[in-house]
Amino acid sequence: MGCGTSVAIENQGKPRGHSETAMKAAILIQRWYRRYIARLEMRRRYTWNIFQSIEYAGEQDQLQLSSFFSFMLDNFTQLNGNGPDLISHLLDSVVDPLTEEVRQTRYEQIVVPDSYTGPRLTFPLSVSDTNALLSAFKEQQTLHGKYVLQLLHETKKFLKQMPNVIYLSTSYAKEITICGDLHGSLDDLLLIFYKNGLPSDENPYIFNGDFVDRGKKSMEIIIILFAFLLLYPDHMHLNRGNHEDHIMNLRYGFTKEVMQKYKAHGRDILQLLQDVFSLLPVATVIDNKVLIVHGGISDNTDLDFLSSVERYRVKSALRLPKRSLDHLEVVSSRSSSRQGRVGLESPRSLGRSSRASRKRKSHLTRQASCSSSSSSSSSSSLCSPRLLSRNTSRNTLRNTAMNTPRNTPRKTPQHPPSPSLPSPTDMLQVPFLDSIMSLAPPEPSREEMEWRQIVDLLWSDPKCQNGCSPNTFRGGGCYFGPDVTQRLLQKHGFCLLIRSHECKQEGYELCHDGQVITIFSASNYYEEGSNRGAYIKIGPELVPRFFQYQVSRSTRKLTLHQRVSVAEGSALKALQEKLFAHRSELMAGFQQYDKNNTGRISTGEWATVVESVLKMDLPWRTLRPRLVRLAPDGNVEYESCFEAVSPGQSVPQVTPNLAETLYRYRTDLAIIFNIIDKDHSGQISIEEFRQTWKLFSSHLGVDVDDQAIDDMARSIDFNKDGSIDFNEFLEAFRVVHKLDVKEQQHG
Amino acid sequence: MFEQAQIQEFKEAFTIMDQNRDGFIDKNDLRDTFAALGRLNVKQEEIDEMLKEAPGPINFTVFLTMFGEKLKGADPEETILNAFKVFDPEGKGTLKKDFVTEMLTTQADRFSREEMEQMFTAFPPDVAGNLDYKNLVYIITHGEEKDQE
Repeated sequence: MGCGTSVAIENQGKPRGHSETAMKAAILIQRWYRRYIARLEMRRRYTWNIFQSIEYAGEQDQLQLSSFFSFMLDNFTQLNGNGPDLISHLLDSVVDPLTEEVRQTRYEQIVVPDSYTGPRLTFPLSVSDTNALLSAFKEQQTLHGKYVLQLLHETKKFLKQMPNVIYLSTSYAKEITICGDLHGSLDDLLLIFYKNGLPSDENPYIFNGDFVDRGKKSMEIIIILFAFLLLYPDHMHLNRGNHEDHIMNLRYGFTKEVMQKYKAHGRDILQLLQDVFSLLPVATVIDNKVLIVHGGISDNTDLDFLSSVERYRVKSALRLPKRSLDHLEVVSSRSSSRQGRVGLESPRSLGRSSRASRKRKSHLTRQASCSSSSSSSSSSSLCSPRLLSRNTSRNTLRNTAMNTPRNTPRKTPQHPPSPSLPSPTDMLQVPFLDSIMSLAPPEPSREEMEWRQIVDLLWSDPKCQNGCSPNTFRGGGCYFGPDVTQRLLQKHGFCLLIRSHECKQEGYELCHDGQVITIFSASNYYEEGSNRGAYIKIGPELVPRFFQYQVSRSTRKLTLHQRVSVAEGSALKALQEKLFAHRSELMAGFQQYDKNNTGRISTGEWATVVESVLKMDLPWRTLRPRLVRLAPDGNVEYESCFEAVSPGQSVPQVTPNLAETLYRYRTDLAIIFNIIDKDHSGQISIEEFRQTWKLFSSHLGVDVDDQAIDDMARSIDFNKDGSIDFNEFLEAFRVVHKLDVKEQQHG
Repeated sequence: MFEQAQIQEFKEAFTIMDQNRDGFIDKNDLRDTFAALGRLNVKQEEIDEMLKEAPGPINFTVFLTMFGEKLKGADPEETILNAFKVFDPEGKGTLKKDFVTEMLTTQADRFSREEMEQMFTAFPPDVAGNLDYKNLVYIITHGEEKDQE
């Protein structure tokens, strides 16, 4: 390459004798610029970490909520006089009393008004139908509920004939396109179709799960995907993802989207979707060489067993299969005056005695415990197991540990939560009347094994180290190492595993020495500019080719610095909200280090407290300048970390502590209220509100004054008619970011 | 050598580089970090050289020794401006794009082609091919200052 011998330099008139100074200057510039880029890169990475941490914390919350639902189902028999049916309806699988033919006729009879200008589908579908759908959705139209129901009905019929694992082959010239998570991002799907062409006999596609949730166009995406599925059944394939799950949809936005878009038919659509989702195949194999699943595998994954599984029974990963008590050996570990009967009680009395024993603080403990307990075994555990006694009445083993913090969403499996099943060595301890009984858990039933196989495929993540451990970060599935991959691939003669499930900066990533590819197709997943999307094309030679893209709202490309700043700003806001939501705990922690009440503590102390309260594994010291102020003496003014965020509106009769608690559990409460609100009026009765809140807070171990709740409930009942508009109620517990307000005020 | 607080900061930097979280920075971590910094296609030899500089596998202690000094401090605006001025004795405030490329890619800690492109994408020269280096220095140093607040 030489050193400065080009003609250009001559023209600039630089004296050659200055070469030493020139070199020093060059070094300085190079190092300085590289440091700048390195700092940008660091910010980008920790921004990424923040988003992922928050995402997985949300998944943990979901686990907590699901265990609460089970708790409610089993303990709360009177809710609006409807018993547990209300909750069962949405959480348990419901057998359709009507036959398929009757259903079909019903849908056909739905009248679509002439004023409706959207697509009118006719079955069997044709290319004109799919074209009409694509045009309509580009114009922001919504498909009428009738056609949605008919489409889902046809899709369900079609999927019933499909096996659990689909085997495909690339014929001589055809390439198959494989797409990853879309998460409701219609723009990304349309961009893929634009770049790669629509699905057809000449252009086969596989979509690898997670079509819904988070993005606002989940409905449109599945309408398009199912339509193409029916139109080209041999060239369009869909794998189930962990978000094709009605309980996940409650939290992550799909249920809400459906109810908002389809007021009259929403419930029917959701009910049908439950079935359709559970009928989606769980894996696809190309040329007997490439395995495609949404999440990953575990050391238990057995494709032969998998082909015989009844996949439609696993409606949700978060509803654990019932277990049989028939083989239980019941050993009383403490003698008590009531000892004698060894059988288990009916639900009501057990419920009552658990409530009573709760008051006496006798906990349900286990060696391996689940998300709301504090024990620290790393073996897989069960959250809210359900047991059947010989009388087939429903008993429950409840984890009612009261004052336990939520578990750490860490990658290393030190902490337990995981909706997987206990190993035979765990002992379950049940409060029975006044004593604690030890039960050896039963052998896993066939249903459990089937459940586990499917959950592993949909929830697992690859890791770098060998071995297979429960995926505590997400609360479901496993972490699988390169040895697990190697073993499975070898066993079946495969050469490649393609999966999705994890967002990647470049839209795709290889690991396990190139044997595992992660493909993710939702660009800007966390925030504008956060990541690209990608798809794979693979032909008969089985060499994958990657295609990347990024949807952009603005036509002007953002510079790297701008992209990092936008994403970072968003991540920091989310963090600030988390700090706000845990204010009292944090302040208590800070004050431990500040006995003299100076308002200041060292950076290290601040970081320690924040890490232990929020339980997020982030570089707090690096983030410190963005979150909290320094005093002149170099210490942290800890109260300043709450300054950026303030409550949206003041609610009378609500103490700051209560406001904080309600803010923290807003999402959970929204989900619960939506379930209680059967007719979707947006209103629930004060009594329902009070009871639900009490149950929820006692389940979480949150200490809330009953009187305060009563006062608040009454004050929210603005028109004093005994009912609360819960959307308004939840709105009251939003927060605003002060900088946003300022920007709005100054235009 | 370093204060406790600084060590903690470096620990975070180390963790950010250690992508697979196994407590060591290996060649994959290094390659990923380079790639993210715009230096794609770093030669295997170069990475091996860096790894060879370390007495053993690069755990945090080794990282501190090797990189600690380089992570400290920021050069003041004045210093960087003077460095650019070495190449602009007439004090025009701009430099020709080709010249800048030559200057940075052919000597000292040579920039790669990708790094050079990255810089010009972020700080584009005008139509005549002039790079306003004063502006570049200002944006970078002042942008950074805001970060450190």
